[in-house]
Amino acid sequence: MYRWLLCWRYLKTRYIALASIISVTLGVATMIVVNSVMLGFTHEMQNRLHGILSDLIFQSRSLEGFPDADWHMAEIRRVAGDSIEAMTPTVVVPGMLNYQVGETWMTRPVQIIGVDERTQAQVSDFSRYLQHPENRRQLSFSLREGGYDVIDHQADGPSLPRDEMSLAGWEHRRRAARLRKMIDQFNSTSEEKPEGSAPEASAFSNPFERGGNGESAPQFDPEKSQYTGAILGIGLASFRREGQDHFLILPGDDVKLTLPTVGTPPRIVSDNFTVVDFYESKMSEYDSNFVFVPIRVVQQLRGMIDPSTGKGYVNAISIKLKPGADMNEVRDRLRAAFAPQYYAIDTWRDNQGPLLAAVNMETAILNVLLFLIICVAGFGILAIFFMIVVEKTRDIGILKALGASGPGVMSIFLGYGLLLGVVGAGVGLILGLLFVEHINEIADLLGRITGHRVFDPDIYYFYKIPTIIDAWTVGWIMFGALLIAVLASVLPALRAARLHPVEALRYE
Amino acid sequence: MNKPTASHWLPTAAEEMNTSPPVSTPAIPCAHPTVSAPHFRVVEHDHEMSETILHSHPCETPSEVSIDPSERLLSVRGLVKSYRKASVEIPVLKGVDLDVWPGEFLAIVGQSGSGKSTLLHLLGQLDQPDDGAIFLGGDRIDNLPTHLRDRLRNQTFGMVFQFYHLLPELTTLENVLVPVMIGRSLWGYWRERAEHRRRATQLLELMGLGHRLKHRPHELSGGELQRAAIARALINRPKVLLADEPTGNLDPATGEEILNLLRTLREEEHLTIVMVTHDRAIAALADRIVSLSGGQIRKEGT
Repeated sequence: MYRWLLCWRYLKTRYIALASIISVTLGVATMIVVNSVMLGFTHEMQNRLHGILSDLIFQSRSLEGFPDADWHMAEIRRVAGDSIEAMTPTVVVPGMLNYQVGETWMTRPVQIIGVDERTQAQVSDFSRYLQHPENRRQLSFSLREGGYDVIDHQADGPSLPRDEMSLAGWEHRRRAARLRKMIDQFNSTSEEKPEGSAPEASAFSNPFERGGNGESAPQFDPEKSQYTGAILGIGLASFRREGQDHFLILPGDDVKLTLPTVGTPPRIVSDNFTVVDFYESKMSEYDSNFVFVPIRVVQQLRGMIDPSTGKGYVNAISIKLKPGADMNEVRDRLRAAFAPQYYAIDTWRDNQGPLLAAVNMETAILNVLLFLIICVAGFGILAIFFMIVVEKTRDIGILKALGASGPGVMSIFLGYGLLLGVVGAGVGLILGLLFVEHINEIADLLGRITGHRVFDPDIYYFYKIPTIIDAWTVGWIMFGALLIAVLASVLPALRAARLHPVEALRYE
Repeated sequence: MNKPTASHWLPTAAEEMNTSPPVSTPAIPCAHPTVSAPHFRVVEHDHEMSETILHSHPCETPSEVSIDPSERLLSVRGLVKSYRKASVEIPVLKGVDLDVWPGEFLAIVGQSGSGKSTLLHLLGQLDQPDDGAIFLGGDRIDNLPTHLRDRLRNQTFGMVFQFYHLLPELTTLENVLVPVMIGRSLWGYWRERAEHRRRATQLLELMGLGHRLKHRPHELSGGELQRAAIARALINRPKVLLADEPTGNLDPATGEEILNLLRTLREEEHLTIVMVTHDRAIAALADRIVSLSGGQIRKEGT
């Protein structure tokens, strides 16, 4: 009883000891914040990666692919049918994207992905990242009349509206086509003039448009029809400045895709496509790389269709597993069934392993560093406790003279250490949780004060800092902090317990 | 043969709640020297010591004392204690023999450094002798296991010091309650806290400190501090009150006041008091005075 009374009184009267646990408080708070943010990031990233990538990817090691996707899918189903929910064949091929901004042609390297519009949405969250509500329901490569999202539907907080998107669709296409016609007319009239503006005219012209016009201009009216639909990663079509997205092209505009054919050596083919939607997974790596087009078109362009059977080659099959199925186990079964020199079978985790491992590594290192801070705090407690034991030598003698046992006196200081730990870690817990709760406000405030954005949505594509508080992690942090506080008080407590009462009483 | 143990001196829970402290000490029949001898058994290697003690056994030398030997409360035989200072051994006590009878007020006088405080600390189990033995009601107590000696300090002996030694973090009332808290578990104390507080308040009122219950030690005068310390020493109803220069830090009038208080307590609470002092005027207020010099007791009566 006297132990707790004294612990409590010491806690209330010895402010220096409270100062010693400030570092425990800060360490605990920082650890909670860091772990929550890192976990939030990891979780968000995994969600997105997993949403973009299907559970398993069955790939050909060659860009040429393998014939007869149906046979392969049947074979996959035979091997691991019980855990497979859906599959879709894809053709993935590197290529080039060209589009016109004003009168300038832009060229971007891209990953062209031929997808099956019926089954693509079944294996991943692909359609969730599209900008037209109808496309999110049922993917289509036909241009919509209008109605594209102006407000980012994935934003979980306030975001700046993308006003340009309200124009997107057929309306935009018709307007652009009329403008193009007017320019063409102007060009042709100016060409009739004997003198003058020939250089300007050549600046306005472009070789692709000319070529296209030469072959199909009589049949093709851009005001009424479209080329094959293509879905562009939003990063290919826009850029972000201070949270505001600016679009270079919109759904309804035409682009050119260039890609290598099959065969050795490959030839280069290109064709016109009409942008029908944007793909925004908020993983900039994907958003500025992917162009989705109908699989059949890629197969035709690349010459991947076997003329004798009419069946197309594919070079990847995305597989979605049933809930609860063991990804790695299915992967291993498939790996055993297919010749490894031709087929690469990986889970999405395998493919993104380095990224996830890097994030985990960062979290681990931060935890070690912060835990070291708490350990340093432990030495502070140790030093201050020694001081207090020396200061309290006489009191310890009195307690012993009154019948307190060595372990009893020891427990005063152990209890005191525990109590300090509880206070320090408790305040740290509250601070940490409050910080996590208001992390975005704090980031904004810091940004306003320092004039430097702490969290730049331009970089991360998240509007807010994602956080997840894991009860177990918090529990372990608290336990570690308390343990250190108690351990730090063991030596001073032992010293107090061993004090000889007579010498302690004589101490002045 | 009823062989008493030290635990007889630790009040049971029933005794603790008893308002009147037990007056009589357990009667030990002294039928035959050989039977009684084990009570004074000392370290086997010291034959000379054993002889001295056996020789001084009251049953064998009844003429020396008139009281039944089993009734002596404390007896000290051949107590030796020395301190080590920078590898030089300084002998303080060189074979002290002393008897304390139940209900008496004994003063031990001696010069500074004569070892009277050391003797008191040894009696109060704050320290252990290098040689010799201390008996409480016939049972050797100086070589008991630590936890039993802790318990003796808590229950059987009450200590009063020259410098009062109250805990500065606690109020007067809490200081008085500290021995009760030490002797009990958290739950044990909590269950009867009202009773304990009532007794502590009563004691403090008896000491004339009823208005100082909530004050911290630094707010009290020297006389008040010493009276609070006496209340603390009495809270567990000890058998023996050990006072180490209780008036050493007080002016003569206050010192006398404290002494009178001790005398009253001895009569009302049937306490046995052992006080050490260098002040013969103060010692004169005791029933019996012995003097300590040269590390041994010189008898002196009153």
